[in-house]
Amino acid sequence: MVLTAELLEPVLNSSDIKTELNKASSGLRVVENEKQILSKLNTAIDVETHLESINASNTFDVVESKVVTQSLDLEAEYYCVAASISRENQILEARVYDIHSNSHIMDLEVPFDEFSRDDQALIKENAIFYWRIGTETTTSFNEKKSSYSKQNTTFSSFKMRRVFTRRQFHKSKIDKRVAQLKTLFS
Amino acid sequence: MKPNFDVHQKHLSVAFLGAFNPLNFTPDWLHKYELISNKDFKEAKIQQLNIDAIQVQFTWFKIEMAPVSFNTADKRLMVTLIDEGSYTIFKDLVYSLIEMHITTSAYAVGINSTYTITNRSREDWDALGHKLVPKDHWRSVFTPAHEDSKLGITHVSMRLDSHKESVVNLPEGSYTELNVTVRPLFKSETQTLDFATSINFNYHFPIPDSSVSSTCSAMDLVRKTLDIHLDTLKEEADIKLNELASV
Repeated sequence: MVLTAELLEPVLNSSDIKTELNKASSGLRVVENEKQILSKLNTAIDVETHLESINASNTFDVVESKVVTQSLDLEAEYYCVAASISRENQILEARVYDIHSNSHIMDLEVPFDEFSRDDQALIKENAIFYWRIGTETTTSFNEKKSSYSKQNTTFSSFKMRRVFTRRQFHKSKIDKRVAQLKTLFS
Repeated sequence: MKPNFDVHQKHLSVAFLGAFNPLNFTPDWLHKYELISNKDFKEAKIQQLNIDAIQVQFTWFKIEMAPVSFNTADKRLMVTLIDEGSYTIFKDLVYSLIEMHITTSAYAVGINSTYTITNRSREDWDALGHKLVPKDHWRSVFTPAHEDSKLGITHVSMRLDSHKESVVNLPEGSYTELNVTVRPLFKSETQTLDFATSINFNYHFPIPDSSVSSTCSAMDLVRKTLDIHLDTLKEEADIKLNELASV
């Protein structure tokens, strides 16, 4: 953080006012008049509020590093087909297949909350999702030290398959049009 | 031959040449069609966007498009996999983009593997350069009196015609190509590199107008090309890298 003269001036003023107040509280005669003291007191409060807002926004001191890249080293990857879905219990049963040989490996129960929120919206019968297991390497840049660091974490995650299909696109367009037309007759 | 280098970075990309529109490849457009997740959408960084070009960086892939040349409206669209572990979802994305643009005219598709390798010593790095381009002839022509003068490679490229089979009959004078480019590197996006080299394998497949019909679009042929070659060329590039760069 670089403290500018503009920022430092009110801070210096705030220390002045504290000195003045200390003098007043100790019963000494205060040289400056009441209006000047009140004005400096207001400035000091403004500076404190300003500094608090800077700290709260975490613009420099707290944000020390930022993620530059994330890469996955997969130990295993399977594709799964949602065979049945229980929306009441928020769980689905899936058949798990080897991604290369397409052979059926096992069946699996997966709670909805294992998926990200927008992936949960894509859950339906026969939907395909990927089960990925491996290590995630995150490279971060530390601005204070001006250096890069790497962190490895193991993970097991589920990710819905996202593919464009013309039928799906047209269906959503038709559904939207039907909803618009319904409003005309309601 | 045992490789005496480390692979620092590997990027796989698919390039399309044709009448594409940059505005159809913005993060919000991809998100609208549910091709990327909310997380990908929020973390996307648009580095460039105008009527002729787009450059967007996502966490695991990037999209770049620019005019092929000044005197044509055709664009080169490049979809690059940054994170090798996301290859399966990358394929889904590429095939989805093809499906979205199934009627767009296209005249070529390319499969690129770009490696950044680092040698373990200055001697190995120099040996790779000397193997690809022997220096003696250059030295004898330009610096015969100064044997100690420095000379080194800045860029080497080689083209091999008809290296892979096309999914269509190509007219005379049109070939599939393998373009290999090698150049020394001194830093990556994140760090300074010692004894590094960038090696790019570009497998180029022309899609001639003559093979396009009302029942089979150019993008259909692009899809067929990727069906046959994408997985195998991804593996083949790894093998060729070892053969080419080992000294």
